[in-house]
Amino acid sequence: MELGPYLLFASLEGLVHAAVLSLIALGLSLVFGVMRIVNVAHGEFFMLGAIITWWVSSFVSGNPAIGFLLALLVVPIIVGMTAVLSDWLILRHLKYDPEATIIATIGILYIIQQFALMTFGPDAKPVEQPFNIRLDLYWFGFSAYKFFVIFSAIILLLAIWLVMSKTKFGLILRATQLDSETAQAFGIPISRVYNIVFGLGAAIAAVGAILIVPIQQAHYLMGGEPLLLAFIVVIIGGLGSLKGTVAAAILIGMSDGIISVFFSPNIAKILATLLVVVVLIIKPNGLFGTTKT
Amino acid sequence: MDILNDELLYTENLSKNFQGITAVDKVNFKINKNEIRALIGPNGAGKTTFVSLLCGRIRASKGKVFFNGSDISNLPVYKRISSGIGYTFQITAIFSNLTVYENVALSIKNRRDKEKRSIIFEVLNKVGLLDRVSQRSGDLSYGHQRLLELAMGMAQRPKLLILDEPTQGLSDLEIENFKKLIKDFSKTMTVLLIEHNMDVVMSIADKITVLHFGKIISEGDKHSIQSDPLVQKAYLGDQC
Amino acid sequence: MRKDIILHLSALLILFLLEILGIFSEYHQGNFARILVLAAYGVGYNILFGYTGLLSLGHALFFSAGLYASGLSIYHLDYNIEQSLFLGICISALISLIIGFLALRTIGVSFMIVTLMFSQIAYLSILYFGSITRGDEGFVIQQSSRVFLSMDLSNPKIRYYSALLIFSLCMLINLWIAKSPFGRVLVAIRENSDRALMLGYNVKLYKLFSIIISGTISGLAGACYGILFGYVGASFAAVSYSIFPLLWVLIGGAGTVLGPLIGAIFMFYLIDYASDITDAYMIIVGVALLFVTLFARRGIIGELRFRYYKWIS
Ligand SMILES: Nc1ncnc2c1ncn2[C@@H]1O[C@H](COP(=O)(O)OP(=O)(O)OP(=O)(O)O)[C@@H](O)[C@H]1O
Ligand SMILES: [Mg+2]
Repeated sequence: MELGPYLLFASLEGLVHAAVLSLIALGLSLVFGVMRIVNVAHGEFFMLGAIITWWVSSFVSGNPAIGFLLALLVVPIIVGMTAVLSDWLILRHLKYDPEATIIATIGILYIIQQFALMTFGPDAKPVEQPFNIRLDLYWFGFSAYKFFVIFSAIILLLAIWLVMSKTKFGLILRATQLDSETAQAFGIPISRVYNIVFGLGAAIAAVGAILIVPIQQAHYLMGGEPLLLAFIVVIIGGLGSLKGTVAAAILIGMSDGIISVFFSPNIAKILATLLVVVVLIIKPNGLFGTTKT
Repeated sequence: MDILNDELLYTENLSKNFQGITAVDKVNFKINKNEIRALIGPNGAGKTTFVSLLCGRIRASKGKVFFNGSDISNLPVYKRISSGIGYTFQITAIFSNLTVYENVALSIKNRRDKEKRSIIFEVLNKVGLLDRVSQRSGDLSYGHQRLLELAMGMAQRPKLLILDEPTQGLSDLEIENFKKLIKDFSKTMTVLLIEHNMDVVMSIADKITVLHFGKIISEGDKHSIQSDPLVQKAYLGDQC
Repeated sequence: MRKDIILHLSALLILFLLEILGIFSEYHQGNFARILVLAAYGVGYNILFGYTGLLSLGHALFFSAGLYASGLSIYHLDYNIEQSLFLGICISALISLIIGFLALRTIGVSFMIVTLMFSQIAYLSILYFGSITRGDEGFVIQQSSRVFLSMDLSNPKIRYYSALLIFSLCMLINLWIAKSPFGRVLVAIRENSDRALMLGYNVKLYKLFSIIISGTISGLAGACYGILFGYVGASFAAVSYSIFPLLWVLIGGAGTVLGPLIGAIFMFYLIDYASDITDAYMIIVGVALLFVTLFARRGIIGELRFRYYKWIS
């Protein structure tokens, strides 16, 4: 292949990455924005979503699209409920103290990850694509499903944006994000909101997982890398800002995809992480910096 | 005596903006040696912000601070403190897991052990916490915690001691005791006192500065302040 | 004061007697040699987390800096033990200085994330430069290179004493810091850094010193680990090796001198036991982390100190 088409190919791959990454990062950013906590277990909710998608679709024989639709229906709920439960059983009792919460979510990370290992074993699990159409793009063929992933992510992001800006629920979230004490004084049930947001953040990541797993396979260790990238995105994109998160996800996802294709995945991650360091040096109080321990 | 030599700290057009709000607005302020100065003003007037600019806890947007004859505007906090400014927080800020002794010890630097110990015992004796030296400071009563802060400020032996609402939440008896202590302090140091309790202000301050919306609206002894219509208006606000 | 020093010296004495009286089985002797070096790593971590109150999620970077600096210099450059140890210490000190300088521009949660990121860069770089580091697989330091003053460091007895020596050194440094005015200031910064600043301490500089001491001790432990046990691999640079010292310190008691040792012994045997039962033994780490944050914030020694023995350092 010549350079031009090759670059196009790499960009398309990057866009698929970016689409899924923006969902994962958005979940992380939502939780950080509203609850002011860093959820280190976020990547494991993603992983859980992927593995349960495999599990659900393994029940359905015949057309893989049925399994996929079933997964879209139940997986976000299962993963969301897992998160709701961990908030209710654990984080709530820590009063969301930043340090204790980080340590506890690391604990949750290991428990979910090792639970997946125990229950589903160490092997990577393939999930069939719901439809198998190859589009001929003149220089190369490209899976139609990958376009579907990009498209679905855009739809979902738009939906989230609408909910955040146009509904009463969105207003409650924004009010809590701005000033939780005042919000509470106005009768917003903060602990319920937190509970829901934590579940929602995980569920969004799970949707990302459902979309990616027919391309990538499910594995119990798959949560680490997206977590790192999501951190990078949230730091670069600006806290709790939906637009910033999406923009940064596209930047990071695309460059990760392109650099991975041309050079090596490790170099892509090293560069992205270095970018964060640069951002933090230029803007030390950016993002997380404004919250104190 | 040389008049110039008498001033300990002064500011030139000191200003601070927080996104949109001008909390301190071109303040020219001067305080002389061994004075007790009260800084008063309604809630949100900018008092805490102003003194934070003096000690460097907040960076000024504009203007200069001179202390003891030299420009300290660009010095970091720790250097300003070591040059002789002491500061106690509006909210209680002690090291609650450390003992009373350790708290005071932390405020004394660059001295030999023996000397240090004698200063600690001296200041604790003065504020009446000597019998609590080895108690965990978090276990002290609120009033005692505020006294501990005073002791810490005093042990620093600053040239200028800034106290941000030290009597807040104290009982009348504790306030009486506190007034005596400040009087005593002022023999060896200059005191800049932010205070809402007018009784305290009127009975111990040599001079009073009134801040309103980040500006000095009046300055003088207690009689001139009490009779200043601008001050009355600031305090009564829109009601009149 | 007296009691305190006696307590810590007797802990070291017990560790010495266990060996010299032959109480250890070979199995436990090997385990304890590892635990002692890891506990030294924990001591390093504790200086920053327990005393200064800075939670790093990236200490594996410092541990592996020492590990790789000394390991690679033996493997590629035929350095002897003294030279490689010295290099390991210097490199980890230098890296702590640089990382400290950069990471301290942030506070609170961002500090935790930034340290995690730095450590991740190191981990990924080790994998990327696989031709030098041998990547995931790692490399073995030959027994013939592990000789110090004509003592064979792979000999279990000598290895145990060396490990004990290193741990004792780190622990005594920790004890000395805890009792020094410098240590008091670190604790003051942990308790209320704003107040410490307003007492005229150059808080940033103290934090930087704390990172350098912490990182260098961690690097020393890393260098010794490679030399004593003869293996250097990327897994030591992975996230879990940043979480382990946090966990040891939390279990044993943050800001206590013996805490890291107690925590390391406890977790080592717990994981050892769990790994006989299941492949998913790391679940123990998760459960332990939740347990300490929910029910035992002070850790074992911390609780003892809080309830009964206020004099423990
Ligand atoms: N960090 C900050 N960011 C934004 N605005 C601030 C900040 N600190 C203070 N302000 C604003 O600056 C103004 C002055 O506040 P300041 O705390 O100095 O008042 P004060 O006179 O000390 O009041 P009080 O008597 O209640 O202590 C207020 O309007 C306050 O809301
Ligand atoms: Mg104030």
